[in-house]
Amino acid sequence: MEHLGVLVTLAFRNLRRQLRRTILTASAMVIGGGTLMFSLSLGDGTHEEWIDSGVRMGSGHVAIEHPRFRSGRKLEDRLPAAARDAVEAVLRSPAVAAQVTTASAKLTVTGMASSAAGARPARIMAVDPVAEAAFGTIDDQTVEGRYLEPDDRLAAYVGVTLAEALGLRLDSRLVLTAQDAQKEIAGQLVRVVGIYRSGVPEIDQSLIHMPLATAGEWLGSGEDVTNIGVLVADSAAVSGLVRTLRAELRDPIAEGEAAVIGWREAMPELAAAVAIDDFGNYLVYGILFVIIGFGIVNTVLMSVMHRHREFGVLQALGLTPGQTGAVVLFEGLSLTAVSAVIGIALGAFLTWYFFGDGLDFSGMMGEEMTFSGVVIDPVIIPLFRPSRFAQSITFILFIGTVASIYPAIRAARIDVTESMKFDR
Amino acid sequence: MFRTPTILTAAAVALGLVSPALAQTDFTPQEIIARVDRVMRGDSSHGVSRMNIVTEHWERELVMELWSMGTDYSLVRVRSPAREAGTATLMADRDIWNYLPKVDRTIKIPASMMSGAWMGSHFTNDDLVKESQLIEDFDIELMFDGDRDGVAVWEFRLTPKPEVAVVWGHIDYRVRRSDYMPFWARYYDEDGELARTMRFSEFKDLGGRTVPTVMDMVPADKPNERTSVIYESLEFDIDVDRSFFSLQTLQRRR
Repeated sequence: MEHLGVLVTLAFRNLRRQLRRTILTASAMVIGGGTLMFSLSLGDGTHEEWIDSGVRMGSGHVAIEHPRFRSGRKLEDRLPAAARDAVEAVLRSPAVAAQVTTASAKLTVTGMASSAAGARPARIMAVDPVAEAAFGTIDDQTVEGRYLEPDDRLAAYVGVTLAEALGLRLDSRLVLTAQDAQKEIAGQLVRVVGIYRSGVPEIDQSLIHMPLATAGEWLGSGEDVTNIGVLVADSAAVSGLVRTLRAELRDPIAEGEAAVIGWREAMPELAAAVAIDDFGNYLVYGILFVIIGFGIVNTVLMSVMHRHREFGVLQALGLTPGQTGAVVLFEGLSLTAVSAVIGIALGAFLTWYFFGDGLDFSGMMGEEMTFSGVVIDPVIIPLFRPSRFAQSITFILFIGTVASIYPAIRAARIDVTESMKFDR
Repeated sequence: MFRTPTILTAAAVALGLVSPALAQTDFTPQEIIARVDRVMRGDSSHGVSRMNIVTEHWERELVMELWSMGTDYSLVRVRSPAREAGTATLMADRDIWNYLPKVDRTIKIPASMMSGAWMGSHFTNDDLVKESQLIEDFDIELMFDGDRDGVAVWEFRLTPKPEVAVVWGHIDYRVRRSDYMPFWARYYDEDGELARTMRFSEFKDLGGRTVPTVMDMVPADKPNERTSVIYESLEFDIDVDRSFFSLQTLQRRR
């Protein structure tokens, strides 16, 4: 387009001349952008929190296990030593190690826990106490006693519901029974060193942690583990890590001895919940911005109507209708661009400044909220992803552009003689 | 070897009975328990018993036919009530299978279901197979040697050795001196609280041997509940071998 500079200058001059109107329109956009940023960072923070709690309770952001383990949870479906070594080598390699926060190898079997008071089915998770303390959250939920320690041998860390059902206290005898590596039923005496309350009924009534070395002796499985859980710093890194691990472990995977599973596959309910929640949020942003968009249409349109005579004069002086429309479009675009940047920066800054340490929702959803077997922490820490900034700016620019189109068309279509007829 | 007394081991009670002449106090507690142990052990047996189950809410009685060989193999088939007739349980080594004739299905009891009640009784699946090897797993102490209600008895306290996979804090066990008949076994938790009592009574001749023909299991926390096993007939050293205790036999509906 010719005379672009002139048009832009005209657009800026118009904005400056009607400073009050410009500021009003801009503030609507700034507030909109700020709200969007606040809400996006909180939404992402919530989801990261869900994912984090979910994977810590479950099998990790990425799990490496035998392909049949997930469906059967049998001891014979454990990882061959070669596969475990390969996994650990990959996790130690510098490129991967930078992403991984922690990894915990464990042996999970279903069996029975019995005491003099009775017996209950149990999910027995044999862990390395140090690795698991960094991996899981359950070690922080002790109500009595302590979590497993590296020197523990005949120790068990049990849930509060199970402890009640079996009449267990600290140092109580507990006999664990499960099928061993030879498919024989084997019993193991352990003593309760700690009792936890996770808040999830299924976990509190059945999950028992015990030292991996003891379980290896008991079940005749030695150093073997059934699954290795890996945590990463940001869940966005998961798909990359899954690809790396799959490439590194292609031999055991091809032989059907190992599988690499991302949390979305491992916890489809959680993945669906995040997707549903995201969709709900997008819907709200959509509605919010349609309203803001109408506000912009209104003010820009008003300014166009108000300046009929001006546009008439411009066109009489030689501006084509297209150029007149372009002036209006430039006004809208520059206004939107500036206010979007300010709004997003302001929103992100205020959110970070006031709620950076977490926003406490416990008043709204209670101290403990569980969701498909995952306890959700009511304190939400907003998460700022660079991609979200880009998305937000694009989104606001889009809304601003769309909202300026109609006024621009109106400005382009004015009847020059009619508009200059009266001096208003 | 002696199992936690069960319906099935009762079938083997009194096999290999030692002569009363040996029942003298110049044996160590371990030796006495070993002898009681031998009393409770059998080569093979076949019998019919009633199982009477009383709970807070209901009461019922099953008639069962039992076969056993040694301590590792046994088979129980329910004869009545008609609704459950044919339901059978096979124990071979330490595995348990249930056969449900109505749906013609055999189910291997997984480790996690071993805690389930067997046929709604106060015995668990685990009770049926659990082998508490008294001599190996427990320190045995003679607590009392003398008359109780005019009967000469021994009372033993069995305390599990460290690290043995046993839930009990200790087991008290009363045995009649004259013929090594057990009177009761009381199971305590580690705080010394009674968890359950197994009583033996009605010592009668069945199949040519003296056996306790009634066994009652009473949980301590529900004193109004109990499961009684009453033997109506028993024969010993029957003609069975390992192949009898198979899934094929289990699924035979007779």
